[in-house]
Amino acid sequence: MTARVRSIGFRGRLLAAMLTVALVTSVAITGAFMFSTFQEEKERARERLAVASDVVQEILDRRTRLLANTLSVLVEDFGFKSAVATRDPATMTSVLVNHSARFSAEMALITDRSGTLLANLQGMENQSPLPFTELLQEASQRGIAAGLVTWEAQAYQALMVPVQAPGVRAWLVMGFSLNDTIAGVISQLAGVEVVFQERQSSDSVPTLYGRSLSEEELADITEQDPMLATIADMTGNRRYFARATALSREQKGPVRALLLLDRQKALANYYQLAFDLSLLVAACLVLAGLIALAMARALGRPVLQLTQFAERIGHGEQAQPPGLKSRDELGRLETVLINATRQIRHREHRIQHEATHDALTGLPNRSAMDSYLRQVLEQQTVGFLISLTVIGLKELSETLGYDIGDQALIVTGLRLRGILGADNMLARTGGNEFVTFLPGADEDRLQDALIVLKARTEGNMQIDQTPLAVELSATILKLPDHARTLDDMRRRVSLTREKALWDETRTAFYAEGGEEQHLRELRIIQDLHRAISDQQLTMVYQPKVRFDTAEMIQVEALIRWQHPELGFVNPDEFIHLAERSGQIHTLTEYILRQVERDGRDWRAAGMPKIGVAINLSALDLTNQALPTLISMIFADWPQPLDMLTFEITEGAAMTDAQAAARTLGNLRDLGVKLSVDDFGTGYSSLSQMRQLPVQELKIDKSFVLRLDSTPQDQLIVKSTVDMAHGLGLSVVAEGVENEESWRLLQSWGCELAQGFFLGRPMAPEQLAEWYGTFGQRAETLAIPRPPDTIHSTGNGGMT
Amino acid sequence: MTEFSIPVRAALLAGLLLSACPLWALELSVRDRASGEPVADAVVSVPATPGADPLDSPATMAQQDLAFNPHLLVVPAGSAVDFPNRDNTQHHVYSFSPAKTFTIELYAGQPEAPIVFDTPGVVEVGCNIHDRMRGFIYVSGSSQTARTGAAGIARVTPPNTGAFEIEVWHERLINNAQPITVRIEAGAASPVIVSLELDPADSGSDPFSDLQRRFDSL
Repeated sequence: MTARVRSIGFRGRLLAAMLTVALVTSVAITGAFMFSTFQEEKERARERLAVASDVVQEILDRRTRLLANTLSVLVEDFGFKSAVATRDPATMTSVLVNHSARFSAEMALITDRSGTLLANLQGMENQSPLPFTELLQEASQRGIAAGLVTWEAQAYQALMVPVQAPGVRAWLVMGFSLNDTIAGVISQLAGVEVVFQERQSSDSVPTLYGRSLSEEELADITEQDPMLATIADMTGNRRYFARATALSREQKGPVRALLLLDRQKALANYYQLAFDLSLLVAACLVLAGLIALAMARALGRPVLQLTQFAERIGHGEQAQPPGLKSRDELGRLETVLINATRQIRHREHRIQHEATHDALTGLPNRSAMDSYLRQVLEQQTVGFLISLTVIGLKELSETLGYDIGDQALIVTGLRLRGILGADNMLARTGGNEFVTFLPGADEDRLQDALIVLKARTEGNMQIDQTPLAVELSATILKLPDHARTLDDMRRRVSLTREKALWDETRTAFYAEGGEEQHLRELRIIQDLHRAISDQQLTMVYQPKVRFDTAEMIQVEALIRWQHPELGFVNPDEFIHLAERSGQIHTLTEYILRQVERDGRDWRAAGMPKIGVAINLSALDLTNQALPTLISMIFADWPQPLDMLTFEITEGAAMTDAQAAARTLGNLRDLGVKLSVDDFGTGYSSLSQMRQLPVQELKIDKSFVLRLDSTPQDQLIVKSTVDMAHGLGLSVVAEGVENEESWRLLQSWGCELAQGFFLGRPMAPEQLAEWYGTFGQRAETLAIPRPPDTIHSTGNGGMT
Repeated sequence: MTEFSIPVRAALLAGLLLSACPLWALELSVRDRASGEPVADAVVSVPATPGADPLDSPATMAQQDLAFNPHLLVVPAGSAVDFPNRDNTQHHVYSFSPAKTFTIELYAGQPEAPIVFDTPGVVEVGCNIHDRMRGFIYVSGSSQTARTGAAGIARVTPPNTGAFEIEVWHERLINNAQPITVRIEAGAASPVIVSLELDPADSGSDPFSDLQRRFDSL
């Protein structure tokens, strides 16, 4: 489909280009031609108007001449002269009627020498002066006058001649009206519309006299063009070409003939020509279009074929090249395309292989396995996903070299491949992990298969004359029961892998619900942050009591988390997770601030000085900024810093021994005390213990809880106390549950006790109350007689 | 305004002596105001003087060579004038002048009767079939009426020693239907110059073609 669209596009462009060229050319030529023609037509119209103007003048001249000839005869006519000589208005009027009828003159009047009216046909008042002063003036000067005069909305071409008979001195004025008839005549002759008009000034409304136009036409024009009167020459954008011709002797005379040439008529030729040319242009365009189409087809077919060929290639189909005969550019293009196709296929092949295969073993890689497993999930294929991990690969590589490790992996891959055969998918999905999928739901068969796989893969191999053997652990997921998504699959395999590693047979099936713990941990990690900011975390304090005086001199700060949904979360659990998720520093800072605040509250409540022990995790010890943070938080603490004890586990101190030693040194420099927590559970040697700048040992409660009834524990605890004292360390016993244990430890010279027998962990505000009640018990618990030796516990502030 | 002029040649006096030779006669010199030339054939009369007696016999204004002869005739009121036709064509003599309106239909030879002009005034006569024919008959109501000669001089006797009016007429006056009046102050020295505003001298062409010429100038 797209191929067709594109071909049309190509042809369309070709067509458009050719049509554009044709169009531009013809339009340009036509335009220029039409423009000049238009100008010419306008010029012609102008000429016509000029001619018409001449015609008007000529016609009016002729009329004047005719009138003059007529009148020259008339004034010499004896009968006329006799009538004038009578001075009888009635007679004269009848003579005027008679003669004006002869020449069909519309105006006739007689005045005496000085211009006083004697008789007239215009209804003027006799014995009044002639209203045409200019005419009279001219006649008096020159003996004769011709001119345009107006009387009662009529304009007349008038001639004033003297009547000079012996004894007669008078003026005869006769004139033709410039009425519609004469306008019509002129219009007929000149081929233009004629309007006679008079304007006294440029802004006055003109008076109209005769005209060749009908009323409607005239109204139309004046409405359209109220400036009609001012037109003095051709005007471009109105309905008429117009020209005004002055009729009075003076060019600026008020009476003018307005000549109008209908533009439509004037330009009729032009429009006809334009129409014809448009037809011609259209024909040219059609022709050009047909040629373009033919060319587009000739050009387009091979291009289209090549395009379709290229597109099929693009879609990765097997495509036959069109096999063009031509040796032109298109032919070359085809060759290039064919070559390009080969190279593309080759490269594609390689890229695809690289994308889906592991470079080392040549087996499919994780992404290939993922897409295979997606299909498995989609089709709900029943079978077992087996993840095989090469155990101890890291150690093998480190001892024998990475090349050997790689070789071992290759051999393992080949062996697995061989055993599984081509029908079963096998991929190397990680550094030391192979994954395969065995269809079928029969677990017995699976077990057999696993045994065969392991047995034949773990056999001895010889690499560079080095004999070695690998061991595989297998993690098995049953599909589709154990996973719905790839994500589930991966997570669950990774959860179960540890189990497989510790299993006797080095195999483990994913157990339903095996990931609840995982989800819980995720939840805890996610919620911990909010817990800190929402004050879901609270501090409790468990008292530590001196064995000799039974005085409470210190408390251990313990954190508690009441999760809104999970309920009480064990500190061991979430502190460990905080370490894993990198939130331990935030948590530690929170604890430090709480302890600082509670310590100040106790002092404010009137309690004696109480030392506080705080647990630090292994990660805290690698935090170089911790000492600075502590000194900053406890800057305004109302107690000296040696009232602070930081408890660290042996393990924590040993994890990154150097960094821990540095941090511990810095803490010591602050003046705080350091204590080793859970002593006896770690693997640390006493020699290492000696390196640490600690002043106290805290015996793990697992040795103390049943101290009264377990002689073995008594032995361990007693010797530990002795050993600690030998190293100059004081000892805290944690987990003192009963008086017997208390008495035993007391007799061994242990310094401090902590346990339910003395006091449970409590909220900071309960401490005062407990302190009061415990004071009453203290007497019975303290050593009855003064002690010989009391090892300094550093509690100098005690009173 | 007084001007002394010594006549170089004898002035032709064509004046009419209508009374006894006056003791002092006022000499009038009639000039064309535009050119300053003396004007001949101007008629000067003193209206204050009583009229002269009519002529005993009719004066003659003949038609000869398609013209009136004489061209100007000065007669006292009440005189008769004959209009003999001495051409071989007929004439139709007429006048529409208020002083005397008459017409003598086409005739040859002597008309039936002379025409009597009894009202003073200027009578212009013409011929209806020869437009160029013009003649003037000055019908005078005053005994002191004189006509200027080629030198433009006319003499009249004042009625008294004070200021008085005279009437001057010439056919080329702007309005030649009547004379113009000129006041002569008392004790005006002779000759008194009278300047007239006149039409240019007639070219002698006929008025019709004259009119044509004017039309052509339109």
